[in-house]
Amino acid sequence: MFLLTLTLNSAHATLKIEVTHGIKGAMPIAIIPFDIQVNSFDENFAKLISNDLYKSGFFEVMQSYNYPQKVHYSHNLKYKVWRDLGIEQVVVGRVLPSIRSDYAVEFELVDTVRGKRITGYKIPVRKESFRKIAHKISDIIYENLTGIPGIFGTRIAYISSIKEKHRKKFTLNVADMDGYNAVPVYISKRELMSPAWSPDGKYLAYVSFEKKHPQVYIQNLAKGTRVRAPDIDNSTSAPAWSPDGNMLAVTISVGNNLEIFTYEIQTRTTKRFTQSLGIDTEAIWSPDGKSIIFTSNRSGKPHLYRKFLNTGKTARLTFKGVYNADADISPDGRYVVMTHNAGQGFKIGLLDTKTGYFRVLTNGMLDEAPSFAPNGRMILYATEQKQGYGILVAVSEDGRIKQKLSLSDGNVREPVWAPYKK
Amino acid sequence: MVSHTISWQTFNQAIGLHLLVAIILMLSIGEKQAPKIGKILESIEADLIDISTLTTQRQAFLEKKIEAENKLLEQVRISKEKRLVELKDQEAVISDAEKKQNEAINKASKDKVVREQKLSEEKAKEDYEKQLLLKEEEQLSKLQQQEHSKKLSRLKVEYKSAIKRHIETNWVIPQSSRWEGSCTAFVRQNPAGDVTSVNIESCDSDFAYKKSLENAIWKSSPFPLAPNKELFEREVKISFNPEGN
Repeated sequence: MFLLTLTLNSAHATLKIEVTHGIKGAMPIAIIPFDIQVNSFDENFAKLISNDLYKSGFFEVMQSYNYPQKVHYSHNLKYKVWRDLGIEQVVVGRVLPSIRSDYAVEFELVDTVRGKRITGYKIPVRKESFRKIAHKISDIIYENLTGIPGIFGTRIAYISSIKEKHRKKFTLNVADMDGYNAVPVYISKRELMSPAWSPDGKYLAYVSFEKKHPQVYIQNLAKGTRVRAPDIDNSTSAPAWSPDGNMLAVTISVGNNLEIFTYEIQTRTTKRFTQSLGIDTEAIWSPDGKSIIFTSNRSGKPHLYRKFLNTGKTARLTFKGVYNADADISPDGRYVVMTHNAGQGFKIGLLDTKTGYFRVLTNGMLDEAPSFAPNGRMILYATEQKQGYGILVAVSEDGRIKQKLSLSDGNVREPVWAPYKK
Repeated sequence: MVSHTISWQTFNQAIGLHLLVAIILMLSIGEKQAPKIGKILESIEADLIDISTLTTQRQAFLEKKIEAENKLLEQVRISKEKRLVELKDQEAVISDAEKKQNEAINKASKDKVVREQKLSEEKAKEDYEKQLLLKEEEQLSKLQQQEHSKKLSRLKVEYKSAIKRHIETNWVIPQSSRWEGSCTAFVRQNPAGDVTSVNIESCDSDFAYKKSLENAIWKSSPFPLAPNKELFEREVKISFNPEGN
């Protein structure tokens, strides 16, 4: 009987509260400058990690002059002090001498709310791989706090062009996602366009004007070998890889019109995919491989359409503005990002295909060529800073944080984010 | 003959008178007068025995004697009456006193009764008042209880909204989260408001969102204190229902 009463009481004695409002915001974090225990070390891990986390848009990184304490080991942290400042997580670290490498970096990610260490690593570092290791640490922190794989260790490809002695030089580059460590993949006197990563990240398909008209090539990045695909003399452009990497969708000129074809790489066979009186181009494969999204002016103005491979059914995706083109689709297949114009310049638009909700992420005049990060949570795009001088910008998915990429060579455009390495 | 007849009549009369006196005396005189009356009767008896030989003169004498005796009797009677009156007066005096005494006694008892009555009345009144008071107190306590429970429920609303506001200021919905549904957290607190455990249940959300709920609760520890001990509950069920979703 006593037990029953107790049970009844405990079942009854619950305070019920409904919380309806939160503050949509970035996670507050502090990266305390690492303790340097080696000679002649002038890199700054904390700064690089802070920068990475900040540009994701998911973190609010506390300015270092506000730090209540500058410690380098988690056991020296006064959790409550940080917690009271609203800093829910703190990173501490130190650079230590290493026998098997140039030095080692040790860091700890601490949860000040629960008063415990979330994770910690010791990583040997070569001098030249400092940035890579710092991005790696950013990825570890990012993934531990958001549950989403990080993208700071990923790469991008883009086209750059400079004028040399009245002649243009076009370069297809691969660089780290922050624009550092750029490596030329292909250099041409003639125009290069539309780079596209193979799903395994080992190939790049792109358009080269080396034969005076646009043609698609596939290049093996490790070996540098390249093939024309499809191997035809027609103008081909705007390559897109199928999710399994076995096919390309390409735009082929048919008469005076442009239509989309699928091209099977192994068998070198092409198959027409679209048939309309208008231009159909800029294909992008959905992650499930079942449909292709493309740009078409069949209704007069360029808009995005989706066509299913098995049924052949086509549906228009965009209705806002006068120009929606050059789409990319998020890895989860839900969001479609595009170059959008509603009469006030070219901007980056984001469509949620699940809800139909559309919003404009940027406010430039010549923003274009958006590309999703492999985790779908950042977007890279090109914009024109001044006449004929393009730059690349990484924007957080909510459009709040935009960061220019530091690139050395002149005019850059057509960035495309690489998939995770497999 | 005639005289004879008269004397018989006189005799008869004499006997009647004597008898009457005797009866009166016997009736009205107490034991104290008894010997006197006895003497008189003896002398009358002796006279009677002598009657046969009496002459007319003797008769007159006898008549005179009777008269005297009658007078005496009358005197006795009067004195007796007087005495009776006296006695009566005495009696009256006595009864007066008695009456007075009785009256006094009566009065006393009456007073006692009155007092008792008064007392019992007072007691009844007191009892009644007591009952009234009790009733009033009961009503008052009932009112107070009602007031108290009213106050409690008001305080409970305030208490709950204090916790709600406290958590809301601490809830940072992560920018990285695309989750838009609701989740429930079961929280245990101690009387100081310190959160001792957090369990997120029925929450099909993404990692960061779930973590933000936990963070919001841990950061809100200690919870606002219960304004009344009766309102404190160890178990708090918090449902997170972001508005507009």
